[in-house]
Amino acid sequence: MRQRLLDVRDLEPPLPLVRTLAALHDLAADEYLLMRHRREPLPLYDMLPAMGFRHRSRQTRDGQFDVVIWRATAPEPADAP
Amino acid sequence: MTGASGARPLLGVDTLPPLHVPLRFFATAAVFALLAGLLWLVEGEAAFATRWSGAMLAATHLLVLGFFAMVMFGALFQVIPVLGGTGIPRPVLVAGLVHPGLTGGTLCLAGGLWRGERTWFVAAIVLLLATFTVFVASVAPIVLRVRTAALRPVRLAVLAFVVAVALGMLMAIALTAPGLGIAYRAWTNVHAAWGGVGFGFLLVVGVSHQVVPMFHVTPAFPPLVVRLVPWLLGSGLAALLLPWDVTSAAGMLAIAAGVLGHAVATLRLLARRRRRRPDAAVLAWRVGLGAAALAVLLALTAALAPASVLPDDTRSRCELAAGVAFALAGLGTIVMGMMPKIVAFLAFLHLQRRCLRSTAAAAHLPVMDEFVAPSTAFVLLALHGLAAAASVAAALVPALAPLAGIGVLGTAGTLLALLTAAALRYARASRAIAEALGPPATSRLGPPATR
Repeated sequence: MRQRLLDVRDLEPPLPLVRTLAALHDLAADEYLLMRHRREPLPLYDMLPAMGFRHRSRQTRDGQFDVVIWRATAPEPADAP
Repeated sequence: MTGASGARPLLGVDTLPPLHVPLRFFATAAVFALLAGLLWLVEGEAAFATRWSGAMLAATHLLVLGFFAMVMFGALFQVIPVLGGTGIPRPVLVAGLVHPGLTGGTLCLAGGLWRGERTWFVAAIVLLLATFTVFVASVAPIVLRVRTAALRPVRLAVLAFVVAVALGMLMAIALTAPGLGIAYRAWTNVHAAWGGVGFGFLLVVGVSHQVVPMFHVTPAFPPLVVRLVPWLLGSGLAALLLPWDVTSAAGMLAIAAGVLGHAVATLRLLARRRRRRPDAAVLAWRVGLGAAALAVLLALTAALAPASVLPDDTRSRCELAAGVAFALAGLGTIVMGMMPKIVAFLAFLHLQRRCLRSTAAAAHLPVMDEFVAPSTAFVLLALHGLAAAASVAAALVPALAPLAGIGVLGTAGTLLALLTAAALRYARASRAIAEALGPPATSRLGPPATR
């Protein structure tokens, strides 16, 4: 699967959410979104199933979060970080 | 740390109460500030003649219970789910009991303090005790069960609130039954410290640990500050309950260190924020924390300076000025700075989640600035700054009381107009989104305001 990177670490609320939802809207069937955020975007997680997406998250060594989001109809991207 | 959909409890908008819950508390708080301003205007110089005047005691409680506690209760419905990951159970029912109880109880207490009538005090004791019992019983299980570091200051703040209320009740009983001979005046400063520093400032500390890094894109608070400040404030307040002068002095020093420590840490973080656009909330943090620190230093000086340096009447004026500065210029400024941002953010978040699967609905989603214009937030903050300055000046020179009254009236009126405009914009957008979504069956989520 192809990766789309979205770095929202320098944005103030609600821009990280707005930009992520816009990116998901445009996400192609063979793409997944890798979102970089300075906080764990908990409100987003609750919205994803209703929109037909799944996610997994990982806290990086510097305390930030990498969130991988893919369409629920697609397999989990194995090559994502 | 790794997570996946459905693997653990999630914090989402579903755990937040409907928007009308906090908004109702915020709007009522503005009305109470209007009443306090009106009282200062009507009573004039007499209100500020002494800290024990009926009008001053009534206005103080209209502000600390009617404004601050009202705002903080409303905010806690939002803050607890965010910090603890679980919301207050049945928030609409709890808010439906707490909001009228706090409103009625505060009005009765202010009436009793102003007019000195026993019936009002009795009504206030009954209403406020019932209300606080409901609120604390709803909040305590969460703050005691969830042991996250983020909730620690909130847990201490709730405990401080219980102590402040207990001392307040003791004083109200003393006023209702003078025959009991309770020396309530001796406990006034301790009661004010547990309420203002314990409940007010500790809650600000807990909230700021989250909202300063989140809203202003700063690094996180240093872990040492996160642990040390609540400990300093809590142990300082506990020392004030002991009967010795030396423990009281040590307690005040610990409180001053806690307030100063939090203020310096927050100001340092704000200096390192990544986004540099003008923001009324950033200005409010700076001014509010600076004022709170100065107020605590003034209170410390008033308490510890020897009588040969500070005559009793000047000491009393300084104590009143410190209290007014801490409450209005300190906590008040922070609340006035954050409220427009929080209201706009919540309004946006509640509407946003209804537009997830409909581009047509999303077209009606206003941007945050449409709920509260940034320029309006600055106007509110400027008016509040003038009102707080006039109030502190009136504490030192009572003839300035009408100016303080007009200032508080103007600020409260502006806040009420701002909240009304935001609510109307929300309602308009909500209707447009509902129309774009079509019949309710097409939206599983439903309008949050009706849940």
